[in-house]
Amino acid sequence: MTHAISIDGLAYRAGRHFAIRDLRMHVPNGSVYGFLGPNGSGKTTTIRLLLGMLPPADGTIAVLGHDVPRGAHQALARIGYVPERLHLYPMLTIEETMRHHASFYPRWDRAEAERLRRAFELRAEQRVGRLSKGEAGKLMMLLALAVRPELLVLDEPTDGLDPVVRRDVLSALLEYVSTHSATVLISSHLVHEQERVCDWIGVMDGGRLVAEMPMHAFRSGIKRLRIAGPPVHASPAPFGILARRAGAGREEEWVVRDWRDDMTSWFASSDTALREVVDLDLEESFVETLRAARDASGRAA
Amino acid sequence: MLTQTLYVQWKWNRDFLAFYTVVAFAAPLVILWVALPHLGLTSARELVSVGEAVGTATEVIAVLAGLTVAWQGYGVDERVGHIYALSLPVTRGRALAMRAGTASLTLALPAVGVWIGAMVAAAQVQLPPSLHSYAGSLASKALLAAWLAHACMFALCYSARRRAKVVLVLLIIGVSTLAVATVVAPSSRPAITRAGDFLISNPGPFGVLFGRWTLIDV
Amino acid sequence: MFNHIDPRSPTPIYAQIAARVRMAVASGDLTTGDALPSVRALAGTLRVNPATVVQAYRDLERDGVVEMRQGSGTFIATLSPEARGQTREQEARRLVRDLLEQAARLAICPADLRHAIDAELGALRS
Repeated sequence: MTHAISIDGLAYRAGRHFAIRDLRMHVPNGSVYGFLGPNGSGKTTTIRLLLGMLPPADGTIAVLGHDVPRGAHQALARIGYVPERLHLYPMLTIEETMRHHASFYPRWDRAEAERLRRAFELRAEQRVGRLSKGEAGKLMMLLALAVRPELLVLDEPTDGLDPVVRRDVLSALLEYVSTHSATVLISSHLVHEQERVCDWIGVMDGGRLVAEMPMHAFRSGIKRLRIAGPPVHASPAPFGILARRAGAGREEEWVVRDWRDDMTSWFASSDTALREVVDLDLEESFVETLRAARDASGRAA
Repeated sequence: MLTQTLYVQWKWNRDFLAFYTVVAFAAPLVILWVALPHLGLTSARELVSVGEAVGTATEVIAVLAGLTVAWQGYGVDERVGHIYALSLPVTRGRALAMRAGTASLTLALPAVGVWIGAMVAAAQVQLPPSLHSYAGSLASKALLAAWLAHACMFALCYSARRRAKVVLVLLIIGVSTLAVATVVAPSSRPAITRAGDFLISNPGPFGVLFGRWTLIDV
Repeated sequence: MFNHIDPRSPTPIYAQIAARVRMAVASGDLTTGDALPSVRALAGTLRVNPATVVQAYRDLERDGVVEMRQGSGTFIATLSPEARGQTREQEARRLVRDLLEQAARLAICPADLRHAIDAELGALRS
């Protein structure tokens, strides 16, 4: 099993329209896979589908070798899940919650759970319903990690948390990943956080995955080129053009993908001055990829 | 898993269970206390009617307890969007069975309240040799009725909404058709009433609700 | 030592981490036998993918700057003063290489660049 999560041809209907259509997603074992996408693109729905919480309309899902949703309960025993919002029973105390949770997971590590509880400064007798957002976030991460999972599925785990709590939660996550062979799927719109932590990226838009590749390839391949003017002769470019925009004066601004440094020679041969090659950070790469994908589907429609 | 589910069920419902247990215990005593001063020389007939009053009160309490526990339990999950329950590594069937089972176990408490309250109440009265008190039988009826009410409400809450609506609609259509049939086609009446009798009297499924509930009887 | 790791910089994170270690060795902040933070600790502190830290340490090991001992951790390797001087020179050339790359992107020719360096060094002296 080379992929912790394998999704093919997934479709899901919410009401009349298809929230997810023909989704193909493969999360490699041991990777930290960043799931990026605008609001409403279907990230949370996809996560619920792969955890067996929703019935798919079509397609296949395999998680940790189990068919979902049929074998979901078997896969879930090895998965640590942090949902978007607090999902725990509000009238239980933290200690009661931990005890209840532990009884369902054979791999629960009691010592580690206690260590995390103290590290996160959570008191055992606090009621879950009275926790602040930060404390709730820490508790959910604690439960997900103490299960000793092979797969972590995190839906906006640090959204709305203050910087200190965010740091604590991420550190605990990464310390776990360092010492256990685990795969992590993080859905987040906090692009800068995804940038330092993820080594794979999947970009979702309109119910479909529009890009899926190793992080370094995504980032290094996408560049913004500042060009003196339109190329004199148009021999096919060795790179992919995501966008062409007017710049200052006669200049043009191209956003390209699959760029390599030796491709400057193409500009030399086409008699157009390449003024500048600008690296885009993850956020800009993500925005440009989305724009290009939307333009392409707009044109095709 | 089961122990923890029971613990959580208990924690959710303990306030209601405590309430119903106290009421179940007190009802026979209160009814007896209210009825006795007015009876003067208590005849057998009057004692039996007091016993029946206790029985009715107990039945109502038991059914309400069952409905409340099911509704409350479902309400907690509903408040957190069912996400937690769905994310646990158990099959849906097993999760529901554990829920229903442990909730039913907690309903033993009000039944015990009935038993003790009824025994104490019956002990206050001088029963003539022709009459006996049936505190134990009353308590077991209470337990069964609570379980039945709980099961119905539980099934209604946890079945997929569309299916529940369909079942309800079919039930209403079915009963209405039968009712109309007894008027329009008088010859079908005996068969229908016999089927109805089976359902609502012992040993039919709803028998416990429509049978004889009384503390004091011959 | 490891502050200011910039994930948005074109330099990959593992290279930034390795560069910090090299500079610390070159300046004498780290000497032979000093222990580097564990992969687990550094990944947690910097909040980066642990594979990134591993890559940085492997890079350093390949260049003989550190040695990774199974079970104990990662330690600065035995470096002679010449080796340390060599590391310093390597670091300097690395800095210059980055500068040249940046200049090329802005279409600044080497002559202009050298002129600018002389000007800045002069300003520094006075």
